[in-house]
Amino acid sequence: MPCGKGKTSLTATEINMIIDLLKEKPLTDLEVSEKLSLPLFKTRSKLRELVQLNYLEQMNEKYVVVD
Amino acid sequence: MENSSEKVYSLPRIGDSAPQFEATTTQGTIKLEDYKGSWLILFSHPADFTPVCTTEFVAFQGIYPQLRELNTELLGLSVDSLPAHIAWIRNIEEKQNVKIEFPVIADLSKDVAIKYGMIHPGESTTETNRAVFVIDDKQVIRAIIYYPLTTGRNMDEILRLVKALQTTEVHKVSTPAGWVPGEKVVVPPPASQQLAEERVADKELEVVDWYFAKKELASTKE
Repeated sequence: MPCGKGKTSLTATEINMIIDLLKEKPLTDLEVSEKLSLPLFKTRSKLRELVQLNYLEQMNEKYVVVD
Repeated sequence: MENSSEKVYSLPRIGDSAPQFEATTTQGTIKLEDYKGSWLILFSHPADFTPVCTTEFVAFQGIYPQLRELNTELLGLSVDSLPAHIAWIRNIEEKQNVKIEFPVIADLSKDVAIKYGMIHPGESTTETNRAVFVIDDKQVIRAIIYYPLTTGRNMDEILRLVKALQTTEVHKVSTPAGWVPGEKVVVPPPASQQLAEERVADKELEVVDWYFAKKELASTKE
């Protein structure tokens, strides 16, 4: 079997941090960025990855945890 | 006659919308649009584990905190692989005690390099040269700098350039040669004879001649 790529660039800590925050209430990328003190570009990248991994979905401008 | 087998490498120009991309980086997959709302310095280097590039990476990291205070992010690029980038960044931290905090694109396919005209075949067909694209918060290219493979870039100039561009953006003025914040700026030349006459009589300005006047910015007067 050829060498594969990792499934995600996110650490477990990063995933849990964002999921825990969004379990409280849906937030926009800007709100997540402010609450986690993360640069906006990194926040957008991480949120997109979490959507692709089916941890989150985007509803209008806000991100919601998938049940 | 034109040689049709020669590949044409495009070069975006100042004032163009920055070409969009999605790229693998040392900090995950990043799209250019992720930077909307902040300024961005997208820069390329020829290759990982090379001496001039290493000095540049250390120097770029040195100005990164100041750039972030200017709402400006850094994004590096070369055509090396992601494992090569990761190994080089770890090597810089180990050998030079400098942690590279900005992401670096692993542009193995050269997609981004070609979109931005970072490969100049006359110099090298396999490496990106030392390009710097300053992209504003609306994703418009505001300045471009190119250095050859042999010459490391000057970080003070890159920082000065961003400050000058942002000053122009906010105050609608120009900046003279070698300008640094705190110095007088150049006001746009008058667009009519009447305005030219008013200009030379304006006591608030340092008037050299009707077409050339400087002023202090309000925020730098005190």
